[in-house]
Amino acid sequence: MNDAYNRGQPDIGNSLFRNLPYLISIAACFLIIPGCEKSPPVNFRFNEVEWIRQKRSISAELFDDRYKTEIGTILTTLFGTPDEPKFPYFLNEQAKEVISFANLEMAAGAVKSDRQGEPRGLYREHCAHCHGITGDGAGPTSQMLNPYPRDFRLSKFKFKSTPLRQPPTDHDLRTILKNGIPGTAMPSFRTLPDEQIEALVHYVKYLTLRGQLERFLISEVAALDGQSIIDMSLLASAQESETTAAKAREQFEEQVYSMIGVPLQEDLLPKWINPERKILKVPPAPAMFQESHAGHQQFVDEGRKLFYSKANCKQCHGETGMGDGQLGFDDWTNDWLKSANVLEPASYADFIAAGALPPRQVKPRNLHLSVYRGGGHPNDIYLRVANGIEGTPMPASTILTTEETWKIVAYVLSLPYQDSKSSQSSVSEKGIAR
Amino acid sequence: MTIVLDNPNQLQNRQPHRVAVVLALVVFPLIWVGGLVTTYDAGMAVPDWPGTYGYNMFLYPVETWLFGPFDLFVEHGHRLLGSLAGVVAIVLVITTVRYDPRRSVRWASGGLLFLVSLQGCLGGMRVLLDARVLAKIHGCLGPAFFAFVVGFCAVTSRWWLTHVNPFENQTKPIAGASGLAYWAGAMLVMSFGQLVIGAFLRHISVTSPAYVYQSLVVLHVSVAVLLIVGTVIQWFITRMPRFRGLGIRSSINILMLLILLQVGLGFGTWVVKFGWPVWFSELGFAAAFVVGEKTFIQMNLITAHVAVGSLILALWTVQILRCRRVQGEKIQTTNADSPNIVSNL
Repeated sequence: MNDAYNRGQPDIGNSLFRNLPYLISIAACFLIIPGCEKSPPVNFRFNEVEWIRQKRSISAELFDDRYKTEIGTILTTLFGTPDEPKFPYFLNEQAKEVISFANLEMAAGAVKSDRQGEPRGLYREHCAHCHGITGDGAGPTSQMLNPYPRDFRLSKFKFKSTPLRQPPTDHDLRTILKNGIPGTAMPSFRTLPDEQIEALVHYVKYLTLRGQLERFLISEVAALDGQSIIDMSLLASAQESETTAAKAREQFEEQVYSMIGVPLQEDLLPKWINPERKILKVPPAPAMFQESHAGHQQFVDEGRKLFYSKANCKQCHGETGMGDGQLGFDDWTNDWLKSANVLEPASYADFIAAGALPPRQVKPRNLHLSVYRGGGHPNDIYLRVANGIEGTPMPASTILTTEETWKIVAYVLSLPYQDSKSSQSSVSEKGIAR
Repeated sequence: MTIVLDNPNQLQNRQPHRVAVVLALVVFPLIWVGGLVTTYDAGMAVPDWPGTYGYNMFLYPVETWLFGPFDLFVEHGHRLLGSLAGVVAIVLVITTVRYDPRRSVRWASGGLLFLVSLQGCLGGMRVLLDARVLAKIHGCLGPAFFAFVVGFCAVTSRWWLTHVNPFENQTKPIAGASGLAYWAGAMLVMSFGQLVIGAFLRHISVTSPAYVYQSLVVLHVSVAVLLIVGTVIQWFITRMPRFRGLGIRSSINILMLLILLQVGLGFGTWVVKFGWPVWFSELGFAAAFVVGEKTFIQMNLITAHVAVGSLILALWTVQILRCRRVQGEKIQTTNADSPNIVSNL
């Protein structure tokens, strides 16, 4: 054996020791780098995009930065922080039906388990990386995703059983959380227990209401004409003197509740109470909708005529129904992009710097794929046609009768089984395409 | 360095190598379970350390551990496996000091014990301070430790101790062997850099701006391309006849397979986490794909991507050591008159 050694080989040990300082330096650099990242503390982010939008659309002089502090203080007084959420239950007796505090506690805060093994920080664990801590749809992963994650603050939810401008029901939100959305990064949380899904549903509503109120307060700034929203001196005195702090803080909170609680109590919150009353009940499908019915093909053909004429679905979904029609922006982008007025990137650079995601046009659904993001059941498709898809260019069909809507549903469901070219040519032949 | 052996067969003792292999076999699952802890967000499932919910870690009720919440099962299991790695590292130091005369190898065994202890403390501090920064450092040190262990296995292996240079009459260096070692060194550094980027991606703060994550993804993919190219180049170079029979082809062959596997796992990680990229959106299977959060496939596919990254790091370490072992440029004279004196190990 020694012969082998005696032929002489490099001394790895010595070589390593000679190079040790360099190796340690490289390793230390790599180990230190992870510690160098500076991330902002976990706080709700001010809606700078809305702030700039209002400034642009009204008058920049009226929007003093001190209002940001006032709005932030008001929101913290009413809604707490990401680690310690609050909810103004006293404003409305039914508020507890909208958001349960136990659910808020379970969903808020840092990711951990308590001693009973109950999870905490569910929102941060499952949602915040895409939807952001504030629910602004601008989490760290958001720019990589298509479509962008939902910004809850506009209170617009795509797939729901309620009409446009009405909040979704808990069941709608639960369904999305459990089923996910096919073809997008929105996952299915079917592995989570029901109580955790419930906690997330409530937290989404909490962020939505908070975001709505924030937008409302920003929109009110212009009307203040330089006056303060609330008297901040009470809060300042609470910080100065410990003896009067509790009373001053109490007075400040009362001021917030009495002034700011009104829009929340009278406008924002009531919509979320029992939204089930607004559900569009899907009428039973006509007998001809059933494929086994002798008149089914005629029913489908009539649906096709409606698709290309009265309902004008072809405008976006294209002549072939493959989603190759007119493109547009969704409401989350249009909300600020319209105020930027032009589509040159330089014209909206300030919005991007403030946290808005770069504008990206929405591609209408390719109806030949047999994949429907809001659910593939005929009732789901009926709801999409009848109610539209909130926040997108897909409108509600106000001009269609119930039977016509079902005809379109039947045609849409038949499309994956048709050859797109033959569909197009047959439509052209019949002269109903244009 | 010159080592005087009391017994010429002293180096034939296989104990250090066997213990090192056991340590590697403990550390790889430890890395897998550690990856699972992050993937499952189970890092804070047990809020205290070194105990578990007030219990001594080793006395925590087995039934609660096995049949309790999954995040507790993973986190506590990670701790127990880490402790086992610590115990094996102690045994490794004892056997190495006893059976291996090489000073550098003895120091290396001590270094391993130090690193496993440091890693344990980092893991504990990550829990006590709830510090994401420590989690990232802990996540980067784990694979480095694994690579160190596998490197230790290489220098105590039979191949290492009995390696015979087929060009024994050659007085000149084997052309290119030194270059291969440096190339492998660069690849090792790049692989580790890739792991660090991966740790950033996995531990991204929820408050990070969106461009940070996007930049990291672009960087991660760019470095992956460089790693693929670097591995393929070295694989082609080792096909040259002068590198035949030197033992450096087997590790680069495995590395080629691992790199290909890693590319697939990386793409799969994206798909199971965020769905198919938008370029696939017109394909039925991609349009119909629903991401399943915390499903078995998602958890283990992402963790496999992390674990294979550690394997690649370890294999590059082996490749460096093997290239250095076979290269002739630093051949030193040996003392032919004194067969018990062995140098240049």
